[in-house]
Amino acid sequence: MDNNISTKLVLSHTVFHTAFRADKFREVSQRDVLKQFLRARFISDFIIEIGSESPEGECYGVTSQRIFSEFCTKLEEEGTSLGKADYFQILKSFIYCVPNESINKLGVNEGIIVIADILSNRGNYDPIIITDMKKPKMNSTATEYYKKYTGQDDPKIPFLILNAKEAIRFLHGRFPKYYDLVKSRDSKYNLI
Amino acid sequence: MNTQLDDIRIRKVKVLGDRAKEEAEKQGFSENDLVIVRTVIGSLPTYKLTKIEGSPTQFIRDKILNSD
Repeated sequence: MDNNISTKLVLSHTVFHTAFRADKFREVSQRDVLKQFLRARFISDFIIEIGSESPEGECYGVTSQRIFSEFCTKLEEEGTSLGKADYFQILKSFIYCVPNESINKLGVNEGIIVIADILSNRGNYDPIIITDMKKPKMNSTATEYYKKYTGQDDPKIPFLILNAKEAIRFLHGRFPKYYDLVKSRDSKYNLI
Repeated sequence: MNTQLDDIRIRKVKVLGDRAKEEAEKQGFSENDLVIVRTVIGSLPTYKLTKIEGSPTQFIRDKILNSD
């Protein structure tokens, strides 16, 4: 396995929904939307690729329980399917959903900022927030959040915030073996 | 859903243990193939393997989420 597996991908609600509830994208022919979907799916495939050979319980992807629950509710609203329980079980085996109540009381963006802060401050992990929001928006949300709670005018944000395209570039550099494996599984990834 | 099904997850063939790996070899899977492992516990567990073709995210959405 590649070194530095302590990197954790903290998934925002935007990228989570795009990757795992993307039926709406199938009919869309616009190239940019298709790329957005493929990039989010590449990230989730990457998490599965690493997780499928890691010891059980070790998750490379992280999100909040709130984001996961909202995702489940959305799927429930879209109609019944006998496969949902199995689908949720598989996703939860790859993506750790932080159950902490104080985190889940926060907004979806603030929640993942707090998760990334905890992971980086404990020193065990190297978290990266991945978002589909326009990067300046997520960065400014994080900056405002740190300003508010540190009282500093120019606070240091102790983790990276990347969009899916930037994250794929990062993963290519850090985990070339897994990058190549994921890419080889679907020729559509040549489009991204 | 099969009520005897106790667990479902995705694993890579190369990390499977003895009997599950034997089943993978019997089905002609390669070391780097991803498989859905369905564990059914009767007395001794049995492992039902399905090879994932293409993107695993797409595969589980198509074959598991949309299954009836």
